[in-house]
Amino acid sequence: MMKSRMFVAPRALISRQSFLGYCLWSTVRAVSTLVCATFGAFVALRIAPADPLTMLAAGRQLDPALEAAWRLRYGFGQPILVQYLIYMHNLLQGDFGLSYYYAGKPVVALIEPALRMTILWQIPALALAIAGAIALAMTTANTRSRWVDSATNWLLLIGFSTPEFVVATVLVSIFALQLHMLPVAGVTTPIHFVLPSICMALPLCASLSQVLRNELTEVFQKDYTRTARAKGLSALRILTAHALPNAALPFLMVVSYQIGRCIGGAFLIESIFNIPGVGRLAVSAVLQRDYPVVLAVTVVMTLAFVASSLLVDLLAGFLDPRIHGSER
Amino acid sequence: MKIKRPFFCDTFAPALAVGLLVLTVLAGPFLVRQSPYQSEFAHVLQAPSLNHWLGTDELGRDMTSRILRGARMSLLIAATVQSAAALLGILVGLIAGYSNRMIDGVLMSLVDVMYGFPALVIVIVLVAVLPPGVPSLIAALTFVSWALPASVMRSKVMLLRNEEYVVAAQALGASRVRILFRHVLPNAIGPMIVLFTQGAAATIISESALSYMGLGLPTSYPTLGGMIAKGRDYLLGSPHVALVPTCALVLTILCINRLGNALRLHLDPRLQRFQN
Repeated sequence: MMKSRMFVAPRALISRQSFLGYCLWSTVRAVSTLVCATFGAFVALRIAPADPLTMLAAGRQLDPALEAAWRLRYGFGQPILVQYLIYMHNLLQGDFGLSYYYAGKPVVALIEPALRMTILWQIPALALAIAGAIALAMTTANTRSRWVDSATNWLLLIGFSTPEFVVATVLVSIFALQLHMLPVAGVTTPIHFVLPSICMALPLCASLSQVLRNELTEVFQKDYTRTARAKGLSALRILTAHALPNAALPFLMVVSYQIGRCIGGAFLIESIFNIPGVGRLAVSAVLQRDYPVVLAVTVVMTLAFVASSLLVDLLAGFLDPRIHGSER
Repeated sequence: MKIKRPFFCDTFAPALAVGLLVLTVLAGPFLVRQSPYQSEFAHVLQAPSLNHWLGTDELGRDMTSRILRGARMSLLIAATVQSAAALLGILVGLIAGYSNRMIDGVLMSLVDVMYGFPALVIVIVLVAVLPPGVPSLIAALTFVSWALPASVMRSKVMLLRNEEYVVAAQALGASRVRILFRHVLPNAIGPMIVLFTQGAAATIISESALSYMGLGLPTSYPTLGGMIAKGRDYLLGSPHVALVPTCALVLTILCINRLGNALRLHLDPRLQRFQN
């Protein structure tokens, strides 16, 4: 009891049982995750592989003035913690460092258009996956037919077991090469994004709909659903007013975990369809041993992941007070 | 009799499939005469025939032996990675579940970070830094796989530490290590088997994805992911070069996932009731 008096902050802020405290703790956790992950990546990619200045020089004789300027700006040769702080400081001003492979070209010039491209095609893919998952789960959750049930189970298992690049290979061979309906690769028209989005969405859709389906099945067995049915409400009304809101929260949690998978999927899909996004940038940077670019992509993806998880955590806490209100 | 049938269909059949798969892959060199590396430039991109059961690839190498070799490597990597991850996870889970709140808190926040974080991003960073080869690949994949076993083990230990037989062992003066390894661990091992199976499927997916992008094993080595990537160039004329390894990969993952689901149902009576 005495221990909690040590905090000067008001009770509501530090108590995990209030919404405010919950928000605060979630944010602290998100920020510490961000710091740990970026520090780990920084140590691995800046310090371990090679001396940055040698890599930047790439065999040429560096201009001493330029070298001194880089030393000052990026803290090369300083203690690792100082280098990290300098890196983060530069990052906040939009400076991601210098590329080794492109001999000192600012990384931000590489990553900015790539990021724009990735966001452009990932949003329709994610939307497609969520819409597909909701539709599939709603049509199959309440079925009495054992055949439909069994078929859905197998379909989901197959979807779950098929990596994105396999989906891509099969779809490209059918729709692009055999039927000539869609382009094989590239980004020139919106039509070019159809196949990548579908390849991204299908495996995602399988795992999302599995969760939503289990949730809906559980909700349909609850007393309030039976009451609603007994009152004579239509199936649609039961679904939208009773079942979906109750199944939404676990679904939301899974969506936030799946965003991590989306980020990983970007590497594959972009390599396959030749989309100049961050995933393809990262893969080519790894092959070229261009560590600053790998580091920048890692930081951007970590930021995207941490921000989306935090958002979902806060939303979940807001929608369901039981998450933070319960005594534990 | 009616009780035994679901067990046969749901658990035994997938187990048999996975067993056959492992057996075929291990017996590969005895089943197929051709070497996976031998090029025959006179027989490039041949369709399946009696001589080459699954055809030949763009360098005239026998697809059957290459697929068997690639699948063997995939299974070997998956088994090694999951064994290492399970050992590490069990150790962390035991320590976290049976020690004071501070150690538990530190270990679990580490696990939370590792579990949620996009695995492929970490693997790609590690692959970029480590020297290429099988040990590095195994290390990178293990690094992203131990968190889930650890968190499951910990919650299991938390439940078991209040069981009467554990309290009795404490009262008899058994040491912590003895309690953990003789009384807690044997009763918590069930979920680990399920996680091992499901994790193996996930590892095969990650490994083949890395090989597909050219970030996994060296391209000279036959891998399923690498073969699919190469086969994409020949999809129009000889689709078997990409589609045969694709089928092999999906079937492998499917069998293992199905076994994982079956084991989960079998070991968790709560889920069984729910399904029926």
